[in-house]
Amino acid sequence: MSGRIPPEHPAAKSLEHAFRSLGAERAKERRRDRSGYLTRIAIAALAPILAVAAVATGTKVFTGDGGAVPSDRSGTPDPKGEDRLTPSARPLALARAGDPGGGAPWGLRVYRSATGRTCLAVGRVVRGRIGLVQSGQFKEFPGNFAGTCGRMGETHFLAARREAADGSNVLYGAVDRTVRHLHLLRSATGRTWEVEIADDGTFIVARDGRQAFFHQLLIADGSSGRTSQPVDPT
Amino acid sequence: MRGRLRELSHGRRRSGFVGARENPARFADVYVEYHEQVLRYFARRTLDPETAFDLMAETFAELFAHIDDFRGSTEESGRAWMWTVARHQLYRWRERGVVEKRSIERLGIPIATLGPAEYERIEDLADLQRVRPLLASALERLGSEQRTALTLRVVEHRGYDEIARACGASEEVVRARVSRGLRQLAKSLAEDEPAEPQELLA
Repeated sequence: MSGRIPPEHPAAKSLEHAFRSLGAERAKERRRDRSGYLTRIAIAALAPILAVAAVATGTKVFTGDGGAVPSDRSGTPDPKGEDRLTPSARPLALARAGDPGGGAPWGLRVYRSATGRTCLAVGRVVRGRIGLVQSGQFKEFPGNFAGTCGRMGETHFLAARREAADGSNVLYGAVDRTVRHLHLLRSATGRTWEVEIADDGTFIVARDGRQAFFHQLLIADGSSGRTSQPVDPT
Repeated sequence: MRGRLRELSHGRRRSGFVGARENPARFADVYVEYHEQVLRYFARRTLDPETAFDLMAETFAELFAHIDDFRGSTEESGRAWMWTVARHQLYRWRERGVVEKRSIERLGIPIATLGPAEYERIEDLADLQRVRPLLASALERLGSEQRTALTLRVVEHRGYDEIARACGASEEVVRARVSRGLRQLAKSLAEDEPAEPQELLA
């Protein structure tokens, strides 16, 4: 059927290619959703068994006491503890993003590691504190929380992505002083999205779904020229 | 082989709108199947190849965006849905004077420039000879350059390269003059349009 549009009709042909690509992408998304649904059913079936086992062994699973969550390694390996946030936690960065699922907004904390790397800790912001929401309970990051660390280097920005368990997909990071403009580009279609840079150079984009950043490039423009980095090349 | 057996065991593979709802990867086949009919529908009513193409593209983008909402079980119901969307696109274009590209933009679909052969093909679909009786009154309202271009194209059916040479302008400029003239003509045609377009029965 695809051969029915002659090559001398480039606009009609290009539209056909766009629908083939979008259709394949949506079909793939559906398959993933379906397999996620089956996983959720399996988890739902196993949860009562796990809960009974947990109570039986006297652990504090599902206690919901609002305390700090255990250190969460969202970033690079840190065997020596160099990338951990110091107890005298720095103030929150200015960037915020509304949660696509209607939960608490996303924010981040930027700090310097013991080795001089820039570190980013992303989480939910509740009453000026940053942490995670688990089983409906907000738990502030502990003092020894380790974020995602790196060096800005030649790209002039540092970015990371987190897929939360509730389906939120968060792209976050910071730019150096040379960057003036940041945007996302879906290379297959040419579509672009502006990424707002807060006054302190931080940014967050929160979207819904595992494929929210599928095949997209993060592009920075500024006095040092243009640099880019794939966000989700899989 | 195993896939083939599975396919047979689930009955015949569905095609068209119903098949596209079950597997969005097949939507492009629906587009290939029907895009020319929809293009003809718009070309005859707008008389402008670029507007007709944009309206056709937005129609299919909207169909793709809402394929999950399609509840029909036959190809006939799919076609009826397609023509309903197309008709709404035309109404909106007539009301606002511009093509609404909401679904195209939301899906991030790039619209390529029409090739010369493609442009003329859409003009053929518009069946410009049909509008010749209305041309005399339309020509009176046009400037001399547009009038010349439209007469050479629609009345004398000359090629754009030939008209460009005769007018001492580029082919793009001549196309724009013809296009503007035909858009005015399209407004007159809208008043005479039958209540139930023939394409809706296709």
